[in-house]
Parts: sequence; structure tokens; C-alpha cells
Amino acid sequence: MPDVAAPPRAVPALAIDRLSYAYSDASAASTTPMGVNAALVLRDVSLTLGPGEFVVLAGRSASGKTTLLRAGCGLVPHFHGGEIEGGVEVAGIDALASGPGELAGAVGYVAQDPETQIVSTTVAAEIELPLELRGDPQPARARAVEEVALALAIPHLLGRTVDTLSGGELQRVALAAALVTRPQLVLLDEPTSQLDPVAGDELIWLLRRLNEEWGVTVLLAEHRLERCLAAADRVVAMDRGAVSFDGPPRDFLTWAQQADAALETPAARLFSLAGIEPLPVGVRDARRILRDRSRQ
Amino acid sequence: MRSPFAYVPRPRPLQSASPGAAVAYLGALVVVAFLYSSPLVLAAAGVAAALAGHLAGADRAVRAALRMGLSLALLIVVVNALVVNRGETVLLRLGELPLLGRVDVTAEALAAGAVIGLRAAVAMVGFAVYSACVDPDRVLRALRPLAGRSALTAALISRLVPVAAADAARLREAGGLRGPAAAPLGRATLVRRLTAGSLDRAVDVAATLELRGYSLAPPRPSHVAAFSPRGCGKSSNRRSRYDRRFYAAGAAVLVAAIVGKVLGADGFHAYPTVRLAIEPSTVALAALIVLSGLAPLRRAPRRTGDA
Repeated sequence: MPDVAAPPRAVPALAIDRLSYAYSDASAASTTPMGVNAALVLRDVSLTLGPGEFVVLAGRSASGKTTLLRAGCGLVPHFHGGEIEGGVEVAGIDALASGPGELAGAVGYVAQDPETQIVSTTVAAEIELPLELRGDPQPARARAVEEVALALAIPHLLGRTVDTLSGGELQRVALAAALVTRPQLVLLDEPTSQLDPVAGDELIWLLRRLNEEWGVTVLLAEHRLERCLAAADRVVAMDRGAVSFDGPPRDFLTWAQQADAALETPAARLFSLAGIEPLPVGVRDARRILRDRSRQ
Repeated sequence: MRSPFAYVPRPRPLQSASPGAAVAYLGALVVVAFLYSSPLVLAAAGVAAALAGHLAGADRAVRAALRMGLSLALLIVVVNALVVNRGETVLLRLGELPLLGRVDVTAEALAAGAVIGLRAAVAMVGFAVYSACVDPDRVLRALRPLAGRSALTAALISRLVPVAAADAARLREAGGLRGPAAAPLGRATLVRRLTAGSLDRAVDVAATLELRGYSLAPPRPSHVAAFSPRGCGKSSNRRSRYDRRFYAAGAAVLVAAIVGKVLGADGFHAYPTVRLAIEPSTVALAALIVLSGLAPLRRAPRRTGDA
């Protein structure tokens, strides 16, 4: 009887298994850090992101979003120290055993402040740096830089020095540097927080386009959910270090209505006050719902 | 507005030299400032550093460093005169002051303070020229074999000044937007805020470096082919034709300074009375140091078609 090979299972872009974490300064305050709940920033978090998913990470301030993203790229615990339990795998690589450098090819990370994510003086050098550090040959580096610059619509910036760029341009350059190695997963920590609304929206839809065209998995932490829910496949909400919701954006809005009003979007709140169903995930969706209602 | 200390690429010898050569050259001038107390030698080191900056096109950096350095020097002179009662030539008796106790302002304390202040000013000018003329990208790459496991060290060395400069510009801008009724953002406040935030910012930059793979083992030399800050295919880490000149100038200054020290060229003592001896060796050393400031001079392009 011929062997029938099982179809290969796609390796999750991110697999977090019962992760608990306390920063070193917090744990130092107590004698039994992992036993003291107040010190834990992440509590028993389990989460799996499949290849090509676009996931929004929602939650109030200090709910553990940033720490979760840091764990996904290896900064926690390798850079920030602290005590950790559980497991984190990025594209099949054990993130707790490997440092951020070893994960650099598999995961890209973009933080809030674009200024501190730029380490070179020119845009071309900044985008090329991860490839150079990895030891890629020059022709491959030049090709990759050009490709990512085209994808992010920044080829005109390549010859510029970084101190002449606006906040939005800097954020795109930081995103380009995170994507130039073609990682399977990109983690973004409120990348629109320092951008104007137009630039913020542009960045979100640019991410969605890259997610669809390149198949890169996106985990995006955001406060302004009205901006990004329409682009998301799935929403994960966090509360005091634990996952409190995991599901589609529209279900999230219904859940937020009951569980945490602070996570409701303004449009969803308006609709729920007016008694209109379903709740809209974005402005375009709101228009469509209202149009459909007026036709009925 | 760009900070005067921010690196500006220019086709000049100092900017073209490898970071090691530039550091050896400018570092030698700063080392002399810490080795010597003779005002003549200190002034010579300051002139050499300023001249080097001028020839490298970093006039703004030199002017800003001189302004800051001389203000600091003045402050040091005043503080030293108030807190040090040593010296035989009392110029002013201020009596008992709160916290300071009995204060006698002596000529010796003033002179000693001036020497310390001059030393600080020379160090600031040297650092300003380094910051404005040495490409931080090349410093980052040059540091990788030495500090590959410590991205924080690399971030502190290569990115602290550019990030602080960007922060300063932002803080000034924010201060300007607070309206005419708001108190202006003073230099001291600015420096305090920058200092407080600079280490945090360096840690963030270090985290970014880690994420870019800075701590990975450096690739073999055959793979470290071409890289240029402009991405135009030239290696930025290869030696420059100016390197030898800067290494030679730095070495000459250091050797002369050590020999001069042995020969007694550092003829200055502040206490118990100010004694300044300017020997021929002091003058010779000062002249050599000033001449070393010409190292970044560009050679005139050769004429072609001469018969």
C-alpha cells in the first residue's frame, strides 16, 4: 500500500503557549515574582497566528500589548530581562532560546516612535542594514532595498538623509527596514500614534496591501481601533495581561459593547445608541449599513 | 533646523577617512589636553581642533562648541575660585558664605580653574568636530567586531548625539509653540531634559539594533562587499587614502606630547603660586600641535595637460 503523506501543515507565524512574564524591575520588588500576580505583565497568554493573517491587538494602556509584541520578536526576555514561563515560537523558531538577532529574518518589529527605530543617517543605509548585518551579497541587497522601497512607495526617499524626513516618512522607512528581510511576521506597536489621520490611514491600508500581496502575517497593536478594524481579519483583546477576546472584528465590537466600553469605536457607539445593527467596523462599512437601511 | 553637531557628508579628507583614523587624530588632540596643564599647549590643542573642524567644513559645530565650551570654562573658573581656598595671592576676601564657609578668591584658584575650563573647552571642540565629521553609520559598522554583543554600547557611541540632536530640535520647536506668554525654554532646561531622556533613547536604539541582527556573528569578509551610506556600491569600511595622514598626525602629536612631557614642556603650576615656564620645548610642541590642525587640508587638484 503506497504511503499517503499527510498534507504539510503550515507552520504558524506566531505560536504563544501559556506565556507569563514579569519585568525584572517589577519582579525584584517581590520575593516570589512569578507567584505575585501584581508583577505579571502577561498572564497565561496563548495565541496562534496563522500565515497571512492580519490581526489587530486591542486593549487599554498597560494591558500588556507592547510586552506581547516584544515577546514575539525576542526582545522579551533577551533584551529586557525579567522572568518568563511558557513558550513562544516565531515561524517555527523557539523565540525564548534564540535572541532577537536570530529572529531578525523571521520577524520584523515597528515601534511607536520612529526616531528611535532609525539607526543610520541615510534612508538607503537604514533599509539595507539588516541585510548587510546578515551578510547578504551586495546585488541581492540592492534588489531587496529597491523592491521594498517600491512596495512602500518610498523610492524617492532612498537618497535622503533621515533627519530631513517627516514622521510619516520615518515610519515608512522603519517599516521598510523591518520588511526588507521578507519576514513571515511583522509586529507593529501603535505605528500611527505620531501620525496625522491621513498618514495613519495610509499606513494601515499599506500594511493590508502588503499582507495580501506578500502574505506576511501582521500583528498590529492600536488604540484607535476605528482606523484599523476594517483592515483586520481578526481582533485579539487584552486586559491586565491576559487575552480577553479573540475573534472577528464585528464580534469584537459586540463583545466590547458588553465587556469594555473603552474599546468601542465611535461609530459603533453611535450605531448602538441609535439601535442600528450590525455595528460597523469602519467608516465605509457604516456608510454601507446606513445606505442599506435607507433602501429598506 | 539641523543641529550643528549633526554629521554632514562632505567630500573632505576628514569625512573620507575611516572612523579609526579620524578618532586617532582628534583623540590625540584631546589626550594632549588631558596630559598638559600648560595654557600654551592647551590653547594650541584647541586651535588645532578648531582648525581641523574649519578645514573639514564643520564651522557651525566648532562655533557652537566654542560657545558652549567657553561658557563652561567661565563657570568652572568661578566655581573653582569660590570653592578652592589654596594659593598665596589673595585677590578678594568674601568672608563667610553660607555652605561655602570662608571664601578667599586667589589668583592661583582662578588660574587653576581657567586651565580646567580650557581643557574642557578643547575636549568639547574635539568632540564636536568628531560628531560633525565622522559618519555614525561607519562608526556603527566599525564597532561591530568590537561591540557586536553589546548593541547598547554601539548605540551610545554612534547614535547618542544624532538622537539627542533630533530631540533638542523637537524640544525647541515644542517650546516655541507654547505661545508668547510661556517662559522660554532655557539652555539649562534643554540640557537637563536631554540628559534625562538620552539614556532611555539609547536603550530604544539599542533594541532596534538587536532586532536588525547587530549581535549576529559578522559575516566573512568576502560577504562584506560593498556598502556605502548612499547605497552606491562603494565600501564604506575600507581604508581611505587619507587614513595614513590622520594616523601619522595623531601619532606625531602623541609622541611629541610624551617627549615634551619628559623634557619639561609642561611648565605650569597653579599652587602655591602661579608658575608658568614657557620653554623652547613648550613652544615647539605648541607649534607642532597647531600644525597638526592642517591635517584635514585638501590637496589642490593636479593640473592636467601641463607641458
